[in-house]
Amino acid sequence: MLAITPDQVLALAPDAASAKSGRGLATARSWSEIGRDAEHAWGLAQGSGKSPYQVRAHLSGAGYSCSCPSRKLPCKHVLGLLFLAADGALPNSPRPPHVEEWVLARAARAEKKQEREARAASDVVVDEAGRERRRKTRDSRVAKGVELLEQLLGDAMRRGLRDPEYADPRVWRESAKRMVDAQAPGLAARVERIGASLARGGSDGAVLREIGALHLILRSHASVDDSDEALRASVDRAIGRVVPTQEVLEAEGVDDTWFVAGRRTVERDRVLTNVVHVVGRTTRRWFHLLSSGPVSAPPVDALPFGRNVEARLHPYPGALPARALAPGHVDVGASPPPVPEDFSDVLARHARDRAVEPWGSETAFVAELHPVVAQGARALADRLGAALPWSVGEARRVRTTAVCGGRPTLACGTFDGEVVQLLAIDDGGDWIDVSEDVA
Amino acid sequence: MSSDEWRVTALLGTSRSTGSPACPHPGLESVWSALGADGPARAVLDACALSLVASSAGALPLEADDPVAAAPVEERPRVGARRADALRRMIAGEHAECLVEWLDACIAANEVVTSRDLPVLLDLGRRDASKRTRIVHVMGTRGAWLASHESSWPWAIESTELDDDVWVHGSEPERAAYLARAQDTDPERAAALVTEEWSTASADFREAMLAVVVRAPHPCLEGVLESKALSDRRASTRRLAVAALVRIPGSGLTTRAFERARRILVRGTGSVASLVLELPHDRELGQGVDGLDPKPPKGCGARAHVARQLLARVPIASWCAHFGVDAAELFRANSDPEWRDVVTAGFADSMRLLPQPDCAVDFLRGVLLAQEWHVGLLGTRESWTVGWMEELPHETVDALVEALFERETDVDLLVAVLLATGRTLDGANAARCSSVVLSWFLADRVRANADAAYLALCIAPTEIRSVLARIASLDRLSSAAEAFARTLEFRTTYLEPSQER
Repeated sequence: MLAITPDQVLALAPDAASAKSGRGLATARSWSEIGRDAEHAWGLAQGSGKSPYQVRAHLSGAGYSCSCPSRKLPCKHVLGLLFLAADGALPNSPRPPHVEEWVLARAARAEKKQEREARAASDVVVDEAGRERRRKTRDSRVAKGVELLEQLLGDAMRRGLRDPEYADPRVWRESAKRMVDAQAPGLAARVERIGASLARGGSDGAVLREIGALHLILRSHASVDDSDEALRASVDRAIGRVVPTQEVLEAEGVDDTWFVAGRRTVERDRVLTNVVHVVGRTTRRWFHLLSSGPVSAPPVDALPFGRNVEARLHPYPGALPARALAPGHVDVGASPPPVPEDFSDVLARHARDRAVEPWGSETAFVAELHPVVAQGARALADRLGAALPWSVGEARRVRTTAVCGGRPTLACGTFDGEVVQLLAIDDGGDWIDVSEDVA
Repeated sequence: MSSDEWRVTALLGTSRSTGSPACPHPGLESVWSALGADGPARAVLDACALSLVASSAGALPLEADDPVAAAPVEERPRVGARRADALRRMIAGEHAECLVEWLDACIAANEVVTSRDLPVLLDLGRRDASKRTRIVHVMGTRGAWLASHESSWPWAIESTELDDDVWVHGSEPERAAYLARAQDTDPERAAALVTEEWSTASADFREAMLAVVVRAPHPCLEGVLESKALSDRRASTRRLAVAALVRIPGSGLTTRAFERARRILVRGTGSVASLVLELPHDRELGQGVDGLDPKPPKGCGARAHVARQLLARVPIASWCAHFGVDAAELFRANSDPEWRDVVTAGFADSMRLLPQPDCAVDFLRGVLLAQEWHVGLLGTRESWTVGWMEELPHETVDALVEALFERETDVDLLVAVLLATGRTLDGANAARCSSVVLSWFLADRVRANADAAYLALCIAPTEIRSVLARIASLDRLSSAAEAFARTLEFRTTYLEPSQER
């Protein structure tokens, strides 16, 4: 049976006002004919209109419908219904006709979509020549983009980053746009980050690190023909080649019970991307899954935070498979996270991963941690006393200190080679989200 | 070129340096030579890349500066999920008026707050001193531990063991807690500590010290308050200094304020006793002197603002003696329609700065009855009158409510008092209160949603279900009645833990 938590419902709300209104509607007095089954919830909400609104929702939050005229997605009625479900206030009952009709219509739409995708996939197979032509066009555009970027980095080093031309964020932002035109969005994002760092007066070190990563990718790209398939895939992904979902799903999957250990939301150009980090209880392998959506309709996490799910994860191709897709999952409930690591294990794993994919960034982990001060700066120490610098705002630092109480406490975080970011922590048996949204 | 100079070259440019950069780290020599950079610019880029990988993959753990003692184990149970969720909703701004009742429910159940909610709850206590005693009850050992390690909540650790060394070597929160202990046991010593410390204390600690002693300042403090605190750089510290000086009987500040105030609040010339406010001239404002706030709030003139502050510093008893009247006559005499509000606000501020419970009932009657400031005219709880009434002792409110129940003509005033104080009536008055409040909603007499929420607080827990049943049977609900019902429903989430799912 699917379960949804109040935090997950809050994350679905398009704005604070909707969340508040939804909360206000999470009372039986506002509803009639409420109910739920293993996957869906429903009810009739009395609104300002003559007849009540028909409200239906999938309990993952991934699909919903309401007959009210609101343009917000989801509307307050859907949120109210999901809050009631999260409170356990919905009785189990058979689906009424309007819900059955909606579920069938959704299933039919999903089937049609699958058919369309399958047809599109088979069309591509048929048009092998066209596919080859498109690949060549893209490769040629990418090659030009790479050449331009090599030129930019070389010139920047010759004239120096303090030169007025290269200290100007607009130069980098303009180049980022040209990388997008060259169908190299991965490179574009990194160049854009250099511009953003210069614009906000970031440290020289941050800019140099980004330039170093770009140079690594460009050098790897130059010798990609001599590399094995996995490394070629890694370089392609770093440059920004989009791997079709079908291709990922056709590759071999990894079966396990996955603990959804951490999550965070990243906003870029008014698009929200939710990142969830999962670790296999048996395989001990880490993957992350993404879901994206516009700010007006926030995405739902690919897997439910803090829960254990049985699923077959399909990793994206690459020398260091880190991102994965989960075509389906079964929620098997909440239970404590897997055995924690110590920082020495995390650092060793991070070093091994960098040897495989040196431009990669984060290593996710579960460890027992508590806040300390190390070399005069904020840090997190593990149960053996080893500490790593901690990037955190004041309010979250105090909150984490309160939760830990000076004792190593189970937590999930990521290490990027310099600092740790905390994503989740155990508060007396509740696995809570402590991530900071990243713009 | 040394191993670090590649960074300088990257910033200044290879065109301004001589030669190629050296290997960025001695441990990377073999990789560096294998790379065989083609030209200085390429060598700097290689150094960038190598340095990135080396620092990321070669990161080493640090050693913590000072070990932190762990918090004692909490013996009391934590609040359940429904109560914890209710707290988070209140902190987010929903039904904030219910917080005191929520705290009381936790205290009655001997429960402590979940650790993650402690910082926001303690912050709330920092902003609102009236809730501190309750917060200290529910924060548990984890809260005390947290307050002793953070600087923001010294009031939360006042009851823990502190020896004399703390004043010399302790953190600011511990020192403030030590001062609070001294204030309780030996106010004269507390005054001496503040006087000695003032000139070397940080701005935060100066304010923290005054926040401790303002409750019952010793006369010895008058010197430092007059000479230093009244002209402190921080406005909040100046306000605390004024409050402390008003509470020192016969202080110079009160005497000077009365001298000025009696020139502006005078007896009228008509046949009926009345007070007339003659606003001070611009040249007499003396803004910034004696801690007078020079900036009037929006909608208030500078002269009226100064007049209100001067009135606030004079005890009601001084006016009674000055005009030769009792408190009831004094409040009745404040009838000049032009400046009545300013004078009433000044009196209310005076009662807030220097609690004068003897005048409370007279003041209520003077304001609410004589001037017909009933619920409809009272506006909402945002009005200054309400702020004052909230601070009335519970016994005073209960006695007033009891008296008002006896007189049917005073029903409007009863609702006004309930609205203003948000007092939950229980025992024999519970059912009567429900009936009166419901009748107001049935007659559509409550318009503002905020007022409706406060009236919901007056309903006893034992009455909530029956009142909700009555409301559910209505065909149509006004917006205020809806807000009333929602507040009642919200109250059940923390008052009925047996419903925990």
